[in-house]
Amino acid sequence: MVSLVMRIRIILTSILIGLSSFSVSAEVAVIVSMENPLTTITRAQLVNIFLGRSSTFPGGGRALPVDQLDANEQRQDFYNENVGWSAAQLKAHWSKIIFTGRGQPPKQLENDDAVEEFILSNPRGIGYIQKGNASVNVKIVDIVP
Amino acid sequence: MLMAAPSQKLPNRIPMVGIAVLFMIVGMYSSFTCADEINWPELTVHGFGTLGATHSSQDDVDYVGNFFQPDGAGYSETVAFSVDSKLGLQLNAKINDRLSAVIQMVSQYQYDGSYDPRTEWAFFSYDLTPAFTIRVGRIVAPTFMESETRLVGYTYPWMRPPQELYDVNPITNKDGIDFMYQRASGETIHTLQASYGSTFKRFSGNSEADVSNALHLVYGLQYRATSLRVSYTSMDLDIRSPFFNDLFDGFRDFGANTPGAAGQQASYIDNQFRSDDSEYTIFALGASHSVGNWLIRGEWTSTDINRATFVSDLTAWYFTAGYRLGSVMPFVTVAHVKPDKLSTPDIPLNGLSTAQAQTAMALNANLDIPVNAFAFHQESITAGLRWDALDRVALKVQLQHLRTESGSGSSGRLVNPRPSFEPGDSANLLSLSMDFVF
Repeated sequence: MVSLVMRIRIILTSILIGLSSFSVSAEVAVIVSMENPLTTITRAQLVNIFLGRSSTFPGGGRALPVDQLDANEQRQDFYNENVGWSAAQLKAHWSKIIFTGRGQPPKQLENDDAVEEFILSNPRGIGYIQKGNASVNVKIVDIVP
Repeated sequence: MLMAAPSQKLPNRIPMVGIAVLFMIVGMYSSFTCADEINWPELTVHGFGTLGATHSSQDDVDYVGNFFQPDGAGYSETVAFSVDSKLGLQLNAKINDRLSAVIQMVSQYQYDGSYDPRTEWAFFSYDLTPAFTIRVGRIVAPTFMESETRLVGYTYPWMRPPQELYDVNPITNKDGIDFMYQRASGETIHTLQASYGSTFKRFSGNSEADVSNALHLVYGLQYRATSLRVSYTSMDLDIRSPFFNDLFDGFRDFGANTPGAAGQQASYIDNQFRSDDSEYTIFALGASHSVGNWLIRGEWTSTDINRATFVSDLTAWYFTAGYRLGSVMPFVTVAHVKPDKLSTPDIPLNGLSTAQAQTAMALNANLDIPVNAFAFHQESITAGLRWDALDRVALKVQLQHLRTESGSGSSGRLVNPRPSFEPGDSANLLSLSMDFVF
C-alpha cells in the first residue's frame, strides 16, 4: 500500500513532468489546403473543430480535422497547448460524442507526412504537424488569441 | 413493434458476456465483409459498460439505479450489482458524407428483473447542410444535460447522474424525428434542437406509461470551457397499472351507486385522477464550467402537470464540484427533489351508511398510496472519486448519504419500503464501479 504522501508526490511529479515536456516541445503548426481561404483561426475555434463541437470552418464550409496517433509527441503537444487536456480527458470527451451518435473522432494518422498527404488530397482538411516538417504545398494557419 | 411479443422474447437473464460476444462477432464480421468494398457503408462498432456494486445501510427499503428497476440494494440485496451494471453496443454506419445510421443496444437491469437487451437508439441521420441535421427513428429524449450519454458511465465523474434530478424524466428515448441546427458565432457555438415523437415504457408491477406528443426544445451554448443549456419538454402521459385500474374503478363504482355529495366527489376523483392523457411539462436549466483543475456543474428543473392526478409537480436540482489531480478526480455533489404535493381530495363520510363509509374510507386511504409514491421528496450529499486507471477504463467509488423527508409520506426515490420504513429515514450508500468504453 503506497502511502498518501507518496501518492501525492507521484501526482505532483507527473504534473511537473507534464509541464516540462510542454515547455521544451517543438513547435506544432496547424496546416490546411492551399485551396482553403483560411489564414488565421482563434485558439477556441481551432479547439471547437478538433473536439468535434463545430463541424465548420470560421468562414463556413465543412471542416475535416485529422489527428495523429496517441503516442505521437505532436499530438500531446497540440492538445496540451491548445486544450490543456490529458489523454484521459480527451477519451472521455470523445466517448461522449461517439455515444450521442453525433460524430466520430478525427482519423488518427501515423505521422506528419501522412497528415500532409491527407491535407493535399482533402481541400476541407485541417491537421497539425511539426512546423519544420511543413512543405510549401500546404498552408500554415496562424493561431491568433 | 415497441414491445416484443412474449413468444419472441429472448430468454431471461442472458449473461451480459454472451451478448457482448455476439455483438463483437457481428461487428467483426461486418467490418471484415465490408473491407475494401467501396459502395458499402463504413461500419464502426463501439461499446460501453459499467460493472458496479452498491451496498445500502438501510435494510427497510431498496435503492435502485433508475425508475424501471424492480428491486436493488438494501432490502432485496446486501450488495446489488443491478443498480449500475450495464453493457451497451453501438453500430455506426456511414452511408455517405451526409447520411449515416446508428443502432445502440443496451442490456441493463429492467422492470421484469431481466437484463434482456433493448434497442435504445436506431435512427438515420442526414446532414441537410453541415450545420443542419435531421434524425429519424428511435432517438434520444434530450431533457437534461447528460441525457445523450446518460448510460455511459465513462463520460461523467459520478457513479450515475444525480437521481434526484435525472429521474424526474426516467424516459431516455422516443420514436420520432429530431432537428438540430448549430451555429458558431466567433468562439461561441449555439445549438438549437427540436424533436417530436412518442414512446411506450413498462415498469415493474405490470405498470406502463404511454407517452405521446413528446416534444423537446433545447438551446445550448458553448463558450470555451463554459456551457449553458435550457430545455423544454412536453408530453401527453398516460400511466396505467392494475392497481390504478382497481382503485379508480372503485371510485367510479362508488360514484355510480351512491347518491349525493359523496357519490359526486367519488366520480370527480375517478375523472380527475386517472392519469389518461395528462399533459406533463418539464423545464430544465443546466450549466457547467471548468476553470484550472476545477469542474463545476449544476442543473435545475421544474415540472408541471396540467390537471390534478396522483403525479405531483416537482422541483429538483443538483450541484457538483470536482478537482482534477492528474488521473484522479475527487468530487462532491448535493442534490434535492421536492414535490408541490397535492392536497388529496377525500370522499366525505357524513350521511353514509356504515358499509358505504367503510368503502369510502378504504378508497380514501388507497388514493393516498399513489399520491405519496409520486410525491418524491429526498435530498442527498455524495462524495466520490473517479480514477482514470487505464486506457478507456475508469474506476469509481462514491459514498452517498440520502435522506427522505419526515412527514412527507414519501420514500423518495427508494422503492419497496417495508412497514418498518418511516419517511425521514436515511440511507448511506457505498458504490464501486468500473466503467469502460471500447
